[in-house]
Amino acid sequence: MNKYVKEYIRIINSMGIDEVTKECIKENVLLKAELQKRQAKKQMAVASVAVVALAFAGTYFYKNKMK
Amino acid sequence: MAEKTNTEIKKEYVDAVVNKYSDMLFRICYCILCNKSDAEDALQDTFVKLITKAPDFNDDEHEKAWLIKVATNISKNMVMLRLRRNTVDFNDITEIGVKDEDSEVFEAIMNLPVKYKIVMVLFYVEGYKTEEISEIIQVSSEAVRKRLQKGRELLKIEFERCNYFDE
Repeated sequence: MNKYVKEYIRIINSMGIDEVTKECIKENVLLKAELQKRQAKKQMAVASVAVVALAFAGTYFYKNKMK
Repeated sequence: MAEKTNTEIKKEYVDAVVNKYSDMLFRICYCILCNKSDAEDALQDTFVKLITKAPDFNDDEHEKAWLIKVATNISKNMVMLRLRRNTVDFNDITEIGVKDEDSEVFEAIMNLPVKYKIVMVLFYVEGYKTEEISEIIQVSSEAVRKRLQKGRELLKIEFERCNYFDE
């Protein structure tokens, strides 16, 4: 390993994040994950309602056409 | 003894993974993004993805490789969304732990193309083999070796340009 690579490793290894940031990340991760879960549930509910509405509209249209 | 709730288990898991992998992932994200705030955002999004997707891992190495892959992809997407050029903010350098005397050469290292920086960090800092890197970043082993070679050449040029070893 040449001297450039050794210095490169030393400099990159000196990088890191502080404890305060780590704590913030820990809190935010749980909150954001929960939020995303709720949003996904909401989207699923909206999609289900839309599918049911479309099914009713389709049935209504089909029945009227048959008359 | 009262049993732990699902939230408590999740919290403990998040604490453990953040303590274990945050510095390593931050280095990778920073090498791609060259910006402290963006790297922290990418890091956070990586852990959020880990919690929401909750994949099954065979072992710690599998988990680590998955996190590196996700962090790399998130950071690359952020670069694509960001139209401005990556430049290292001088205020960032001391905040992330790099010494003042290394700031010039650090800036030079960060100005290397992203494709070389990723393989160099994974190979030299994280100790992955070229085959493992090829799996993580989805390129051939040959390409990884070429990038390492070119990366070393560019590194030498940057160190010499900064007169790092002459001081």
